[in-house]
Amino acid sequence: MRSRSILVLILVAALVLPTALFAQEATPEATDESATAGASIPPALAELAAGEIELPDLEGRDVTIAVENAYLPFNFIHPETNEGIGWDYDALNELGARLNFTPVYVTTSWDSMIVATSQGEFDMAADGITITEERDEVVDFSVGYIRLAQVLLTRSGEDRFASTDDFAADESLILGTQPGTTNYDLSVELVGADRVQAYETFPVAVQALLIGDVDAVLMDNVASQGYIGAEAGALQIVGEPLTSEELGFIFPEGSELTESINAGLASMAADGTLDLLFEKWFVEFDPSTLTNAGEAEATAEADA
Amino acid sequence: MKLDIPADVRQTQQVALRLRPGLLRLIFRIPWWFVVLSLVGISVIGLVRGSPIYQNIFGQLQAGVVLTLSVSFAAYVSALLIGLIVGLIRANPPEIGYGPVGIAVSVIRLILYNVATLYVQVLRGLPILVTLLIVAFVIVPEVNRVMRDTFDINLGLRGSSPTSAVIALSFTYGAFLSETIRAGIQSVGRGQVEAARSLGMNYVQVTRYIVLPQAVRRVLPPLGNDMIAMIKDSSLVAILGIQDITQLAKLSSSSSFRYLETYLLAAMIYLTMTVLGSAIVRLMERLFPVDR
Repeated sequence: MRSRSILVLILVAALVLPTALFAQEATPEATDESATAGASIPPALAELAAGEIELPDLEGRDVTIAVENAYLPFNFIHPETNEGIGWDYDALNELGARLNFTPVYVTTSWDSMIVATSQGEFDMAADGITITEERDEVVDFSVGYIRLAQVLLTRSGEDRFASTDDFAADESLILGTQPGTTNYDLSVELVGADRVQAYETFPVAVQALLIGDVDAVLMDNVASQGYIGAEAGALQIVGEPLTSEELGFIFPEGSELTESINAGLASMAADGTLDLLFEKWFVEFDPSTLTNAGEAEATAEADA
Repeated sequence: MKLDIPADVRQTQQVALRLRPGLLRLIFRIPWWFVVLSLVGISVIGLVRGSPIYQNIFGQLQAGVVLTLSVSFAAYVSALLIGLIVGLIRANPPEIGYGPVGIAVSVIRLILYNVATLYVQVLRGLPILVTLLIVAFVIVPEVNRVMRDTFDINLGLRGSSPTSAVIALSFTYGAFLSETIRAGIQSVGRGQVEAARSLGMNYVQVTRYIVLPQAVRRVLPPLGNDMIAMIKDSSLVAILGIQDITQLAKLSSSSSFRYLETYLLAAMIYLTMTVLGSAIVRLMERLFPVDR
């Protein structure tokens, strides 16, 4: 199981290098009962959902959507079927049904995603992209669809630090993350660029954490749940959730799709579909059940 | 008998003869590619000095030059050593010996030859990126674990470090260089080797004094080629988050969104290193010419 997951991580890392950049700030709000593991519907979207929603009909056109396929649980490759799955796929397929468009998923690298979208190479991109002012200058964002927090992912049994302050204070500790992400920006803010090692994709960073090259990985809380599940007890979260922001889909500037997608998201928020998706991918999702070996282990544990 | 020269060629000949022959030769001898490149380089330097944006980016990128050069240099020297040894082994396929000592030597040579061939085939067949990830995330942690569990020694080697990159690069390039060196060795005439042997030189002496000096001179161009390729492949360390020029370019451009400026500067820095590198290789080719 261990070597298999290492192999999966290496193949994911080798085949799909760039990964999404996520960074979210904010203490999770208790907007509704469902335990969404720190993910919540942002106020702007909640407002839209409460008002009148008009769903445009996009007449079945193709919408090219850039994804990275290396960011649990938003978009990643199912280890057995080799298909792309994740929150983004479910959400966008649902939006395609409501707005009458055909999603065409294109795998690309995180590094180039924002710039390529700004130049119109894709109709939109989905990779848990944090809404920031800098990015807003080159692309258009949809309304934020999630608010999450950033957390420190560490190896189980870590006793050298118990909070981010401890981590920052100990000069010998190194933080892993991904370049071009708000996680990276926050990491540099926390410990300075010399103590940050920015790996090509988050799976590679997590692998580095597991082999002891870095002492923690700064990532979004929902993504961390995915890795904790995949690594069966080897990882844990240390410290309080840090800053969080909202994630959004990106579009080329001036795109007409933005308003349509916003309406679609509002309707999904209004009838509870969004909450169901949060529940499915951020609470119930257990990556180990995706492989037959993992599933057998899980059922064996359940039976025992 | 008048030669049938086409009209346009004759016209060019006549025009050419009107120019002073010295000027014509000068036009053809000037390395125009270098002139163009230098002009681009000078304008980039002008850009950097004139614009605070460019200065800022350059300041960030030049911090990676030392790492790029040291990884390239270390990996290349190691690759040369590996290539020399493996090339020598592969250049001498095993022959059946006689007598107990002869057979023992033959068996050793057989093993060495097959190990060397396996090494070359495997390392040439894997993409360097895959090799690098395997070294960093499979081999190094395993070594750490074995040393810890069996010998109780805590090596604490870091998988995602420049060392892993040097190992991966040197073993990969070692495979390629070994084939180049083998070609060089085999290009030295058999006659020379036989003559040297009949003068009483043993294999080591023949190799050292007759074969290698000629072989290395002959393959200096491809060896130099690989050195320059190594400088470029050192950029793969960016995958492991090591801060070389490429990684710094990625970090800088992803927050500033100034992709043009950043990658223009990164390209010029790499080009400066590689063009200088090829100039040095040409100098060495002049210093160690092949005797024809």
